[in-house]
Amino acid sequence: MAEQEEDIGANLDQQNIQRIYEEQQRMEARFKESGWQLFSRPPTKINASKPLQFMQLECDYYTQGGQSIVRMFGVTGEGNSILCHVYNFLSFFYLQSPNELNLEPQHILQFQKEFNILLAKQKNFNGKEPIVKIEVCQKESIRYYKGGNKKQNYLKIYVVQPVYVAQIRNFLKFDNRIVCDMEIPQLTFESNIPYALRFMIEYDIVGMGWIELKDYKIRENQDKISSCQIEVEVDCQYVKAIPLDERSELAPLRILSFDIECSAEKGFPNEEHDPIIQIACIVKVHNRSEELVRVVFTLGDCEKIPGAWVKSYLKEEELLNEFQVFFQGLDPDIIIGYNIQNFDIPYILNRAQSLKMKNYGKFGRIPTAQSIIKNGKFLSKAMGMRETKDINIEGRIQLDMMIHMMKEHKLSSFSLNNVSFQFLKQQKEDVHYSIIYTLQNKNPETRKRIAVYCLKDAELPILLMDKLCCLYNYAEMARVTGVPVNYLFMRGQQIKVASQLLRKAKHYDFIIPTENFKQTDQEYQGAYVLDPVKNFYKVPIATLDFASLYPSIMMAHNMCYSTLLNTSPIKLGLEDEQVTISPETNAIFVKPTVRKGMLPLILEDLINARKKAKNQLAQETDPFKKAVLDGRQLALKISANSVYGFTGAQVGQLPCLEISASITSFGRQMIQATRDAVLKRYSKDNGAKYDAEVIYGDTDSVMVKFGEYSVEETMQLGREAASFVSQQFIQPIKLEFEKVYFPYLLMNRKRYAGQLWTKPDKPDKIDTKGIESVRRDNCFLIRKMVTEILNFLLIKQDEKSAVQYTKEQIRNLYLNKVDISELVITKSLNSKKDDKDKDKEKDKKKNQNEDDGNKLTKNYKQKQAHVVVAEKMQNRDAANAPSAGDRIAYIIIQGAKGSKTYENAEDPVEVLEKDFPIDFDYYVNNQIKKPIMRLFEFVIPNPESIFVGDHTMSRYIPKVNINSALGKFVQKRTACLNCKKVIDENQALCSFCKDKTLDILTKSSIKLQELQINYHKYWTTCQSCQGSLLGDILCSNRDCEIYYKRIKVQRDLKEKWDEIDKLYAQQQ
Amino acid sequence: MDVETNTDVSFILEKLKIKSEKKFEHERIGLEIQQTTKFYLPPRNKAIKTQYCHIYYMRYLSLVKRFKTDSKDCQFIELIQKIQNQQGTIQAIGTIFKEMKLKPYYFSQNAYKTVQNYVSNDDVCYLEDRSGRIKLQINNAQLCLPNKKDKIVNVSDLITGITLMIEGQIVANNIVKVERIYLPNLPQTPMLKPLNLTSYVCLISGLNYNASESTTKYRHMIDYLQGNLYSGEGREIPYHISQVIFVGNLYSKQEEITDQQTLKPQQDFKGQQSKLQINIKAVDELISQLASVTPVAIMPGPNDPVSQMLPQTPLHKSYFSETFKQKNQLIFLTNPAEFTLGDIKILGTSGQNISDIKRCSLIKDQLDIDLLEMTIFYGNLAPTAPDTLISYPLQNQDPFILEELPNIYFAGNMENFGTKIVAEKVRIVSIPAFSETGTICLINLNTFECFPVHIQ
Repeated sequence: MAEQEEDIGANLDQQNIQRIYEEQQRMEARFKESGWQLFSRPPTKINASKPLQFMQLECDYYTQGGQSIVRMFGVTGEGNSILCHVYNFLSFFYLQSPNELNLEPQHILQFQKEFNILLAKQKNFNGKEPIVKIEVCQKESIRYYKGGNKKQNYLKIYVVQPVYVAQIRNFLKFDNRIVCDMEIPQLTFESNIPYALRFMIEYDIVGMGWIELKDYKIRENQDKISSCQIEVEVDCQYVKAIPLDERSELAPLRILSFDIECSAEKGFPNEEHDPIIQIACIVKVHNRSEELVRVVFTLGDCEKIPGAWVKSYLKEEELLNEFQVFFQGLDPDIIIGYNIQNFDIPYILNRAQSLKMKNYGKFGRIPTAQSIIKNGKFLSKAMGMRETKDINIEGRIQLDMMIHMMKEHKLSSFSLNNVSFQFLKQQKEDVHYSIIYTLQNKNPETRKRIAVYCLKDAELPILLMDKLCCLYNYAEMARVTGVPVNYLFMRGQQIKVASQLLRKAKHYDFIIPTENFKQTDQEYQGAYVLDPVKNFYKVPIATLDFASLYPSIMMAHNMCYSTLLNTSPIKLGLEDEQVTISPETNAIFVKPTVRKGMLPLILEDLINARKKAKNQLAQETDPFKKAVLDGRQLALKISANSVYGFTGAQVGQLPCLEISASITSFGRQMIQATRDAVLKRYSKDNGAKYDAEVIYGDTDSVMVKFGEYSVEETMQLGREAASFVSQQFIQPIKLEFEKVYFPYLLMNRKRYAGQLWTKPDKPDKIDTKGIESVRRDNCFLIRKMVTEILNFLLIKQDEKSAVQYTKEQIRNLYLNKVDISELVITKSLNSKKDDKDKDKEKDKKKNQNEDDGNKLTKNYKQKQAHVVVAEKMQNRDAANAPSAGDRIAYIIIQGAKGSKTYENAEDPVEVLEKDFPIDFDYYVNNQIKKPIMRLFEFVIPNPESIFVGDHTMSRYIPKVNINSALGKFVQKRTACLNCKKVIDENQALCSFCKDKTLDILTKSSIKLQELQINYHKYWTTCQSCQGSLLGDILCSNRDCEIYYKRIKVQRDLKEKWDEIDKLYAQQQ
Repeated sequence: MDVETNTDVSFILEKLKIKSEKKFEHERIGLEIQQTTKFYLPPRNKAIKTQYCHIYYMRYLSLVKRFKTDSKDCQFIELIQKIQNQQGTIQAIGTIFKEMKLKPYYFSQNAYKTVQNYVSNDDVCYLEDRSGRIKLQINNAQLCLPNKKDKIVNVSDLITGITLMIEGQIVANNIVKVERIYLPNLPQTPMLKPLNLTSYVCLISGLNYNASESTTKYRHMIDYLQGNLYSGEGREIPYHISQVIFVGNLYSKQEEITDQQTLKPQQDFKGQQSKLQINIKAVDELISQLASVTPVAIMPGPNDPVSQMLPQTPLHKSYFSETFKQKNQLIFLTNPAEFTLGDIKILGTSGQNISDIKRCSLIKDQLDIDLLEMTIFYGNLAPTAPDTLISYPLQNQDPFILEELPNIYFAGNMENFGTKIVAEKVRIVSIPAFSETGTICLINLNTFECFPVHIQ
């Protein structure tokens, strides 16, 4: 876990300062030489006698001469960058005071002395005493309600350097813990908090929050250790957080988005031999609409680009150096890009190393600190285990939009073009890296082509960031949870809850134990799902939802570490009505009247703050403030929901299964109670017109069929039922009526589709869950069919047409009339290593679940179609072969009898060019059938019938193909265009068909026109997507359907036109 | 220069119920059409792999030479420097690209809708050359025309594909506020050698023959051209017609071919085809009668069963088997077509170029003939090809560039008749669809007078 990593700050020795100053001077001089000073930050104006305010960006610490100094990077309201050195803050942790310890000051001092001696035996703390001060204070462990006021004596132990906290904690694991003849407890409290966060908590500072300094000292230029415009020193007592309701805007942050292009002769670029040929940067100040500057650095001369600075260099080293100068001088606060963390930044650093460029990689605000790549692993529930690269860039925030998208959105492809198509509705040109090599080595014109493309790649992350309000959301998340903003990228969910819990606990004199991880396999029952009554409902179905179910359960029942009993209530003298006992799990919590829990307090704060933010949002008109408020309410919602996860995380900081298991048990009970209440009230026995039915319930919602009512009536009933049921629960649990589905096709658990209504007059949209129309590894045909069938069933409510349509599609498929792009299946190619890892994981699971009896299956590995295609492509053209991470597109073609499906997978471009016959049976039986059957299961009595009958009988018979195995035995002869009779070479038609020339010609002409219209449509669409009239289309984006259509139509058109030319040439 | 009052001679056929039975003994002179190869497509082998950008590039290269500029810095490279320094007045030559939100773009929602007009308020104009694009702010800019009649234009007046020179102020990075727009100089006008005797060329456009509707007007037209219909003033005119040219759309429009699968495509396709064949036979019959008395040339149009990409290939003779059974005087032209009659140079299109301009711009107070005139000023017959006008991906030329002016320039399938003399010597004619107006056009090759004849 990230929290367990050693919290080591940077080290700074005095000698460096002179070097930093000189370095800084050199950089600035070169920056001016290049003419960039137009884009410098505004000059500084500070009056040292006045308090100084700035917004915090990053907070960490360094040690100098054995002293730990907190450093905060930030930006002032005027847009100046600032580094603030905070002195004299000591790190500390808590330890329960041994009972025998006399609390007189002299005894404490003695204790401290002996404790230090004990520690010195374990390790040499540079000859210093690690503990500098011990205070006695009254605190209580947050775990368990132990009766009224059970505050105890705790020792607050201050240490010289933050690293000693963890070291001391580790020593206490050993047996020898005797100090002054007293045994010190093993358990420490709050000994795993990063020093910087500890500092922020003590001073109520939150990430991205505003800070005010008094009595600070401004450093002279030659004393600066950073490239920040302002550097100040301050004693920790003069640091004050400005509350968010006083100042909440974002400082004018500078955002630099960049993208690099590399040129590789063969395959994917490799740092060792493939140069970086271009770097494009776009700089923007976050709250201004226009860009500050866009630049592209190129290797080799490059034509000018309107609106951009083009800087060309002959040597790669010069290019990299100039980029560094530009980067440092522009002094961005936030660095963004797409996949920069795992590709662009590491590539630049590694490439500089391959070029033997000494001291390269100064991208942070501390000029002496070179950026270094560290391999890390990131474990998250959402993404699983991922390998990541951590790069230290001091004082700047790295926001990799690719990682953001992977965390926040469920997409099947995270390629930049798919992402920008989904969110910006822009298709992006995809130039294959092999083409880049050719373009780079041609002329300034073609290099400009790369530059334009590169700039686009730098622009899209900015557009995405703005569109998704990332900056605001992250800033508000940091403010709500109190952690420095970079924790949000580097660390998991837990630290956010921990930060809130620590802050809250501090106010109530609770302290949090630092426990060792206990690996348990204990699992608890999750949410409750009422079995769906699968059917196709043609009456309105009302959906009743519990709003923020888990947070409201925790608040309603006052569930917290500090309210949980680990003993019977009687022992603590509690009456029955003073406690709540959870269903099934039988955990006991005291009621708020006895003691209010910390978690409910945190949740209340979050939920009240969210209400407030939403109210303000409704009134606000300024779009920037709106974005801030919306980001805040979203952050608050996410934070509230993650509290439950914190208690349930088994490898977490403070897992407490009694709490999490009880929350879900309350949830299950409530779903059942809701069902019972609705059924009872809306029954004929109770005077209702119909007996209501609960057809499905999942986690926090219940679907009710009230009967044959109109949508409006159902809404009325839904609202009434919601408020009626809500009364049965404790505040703030609330059942809400949100929407009506009509009609509603319920296929299974978490698999349904319906037309959604929130207003009685017209439906909002079609809402689906777990249906193939969204998954990307299905071919487009099936997604199209599912969408279309749902339209027929749900909007037109015409089952016959739905069946008719499906049959027609199957017929078209068999007749080869379906566009090839609709049959392309894509899967992303994992690196071989990933595959191995996965296999290992699988094996592990297998071993756990099964006995060794299955050893045979373990070694047998099913070949996957897309891997086979990748291999084929590799054999055909190694230079253009796909590599790990690429999406492989393929089509299943007809193969020899008995061949495996994967053997018959083929690259779509190859299929088009060689005219391979498509395996229609595979598509019908393996792709279409299952999902379509599921859709029709409850709609028509015998869905099988869709797949049999006349429409499956006529099949397209492919021409004998010289590329197929059989084709080798066939001699090519000229055949009559109409009846295929063998004729003389110069003829188009046989003598019999010649009389029908007119007939044949008109038919062909109509076809020709159709093809021409498509040809024009596809090629002009790609031309405008590519963004210029005069440039070639180079795109080979296999995620884009046009790519295949474009190639296919080219071939079809030529074939048809040749046929017509032949007819024209024929003598009559 | 101005539109001439509609007609010198007007015929109202209803008044004339006499069906002339007399046959004038009259010798017609036939003039032979000599078609140039300009609009013939090159061999198709490689061409179909050519991309559309080449047309724009060739267009830019041939038109850029035709701007008269005093300063050298109308090139983009200089422009970029100026934009970077954010200074002052600039001039730049480039091709216009108009981004139209309503244009049926493949991924847009209206991909399958047939929109009549693509113009919207959100349209944005860019000026482009090989070095890139700049965004244009056009708000009542002055368009300087070669005929010295300046116009006030806005974004909605401009269309993609025209090459022009702008003059304006840099207002922001990469944005220029346009004050004045200049068009390329007019190309050379060839010597005019009129015929020394009275002879007419007859232009008929848009028969849109539909066998299921009344066809009497077609009969009347043939009768008129044969000289059998009319005996009033000007009755000798038909006998002086030395060439009849059918300017596109012989047959009525075929049903819309869409990308989307209809439920029973097979049947529809057959139905459409048999209807078309009935029409083909009927038109063949009409033409065969006409071709026996006067030479006939046929240009293909957007509705005809032949390649749709501009330049369109000629129709095939098998559509006219009846005509070819006899001694015939029938030839097939490309569309656009460029040919000579005697020494007179004629250029014409079946009208797609003008209809497409109408779709892409907002026309106020402008007749078809004015748009035809504009294409001469643009130096480009079909600026919107290949963007919105379907055209053939040529590599080494933009065939639509006017390298030299013709003596006569016409466009078929227009809404109304119009004619003008532009650039001093060029007779331009917009020919309305016969099926809608019953109008045919005659041009006197001796005097260059042009007038419509209405047949009802």
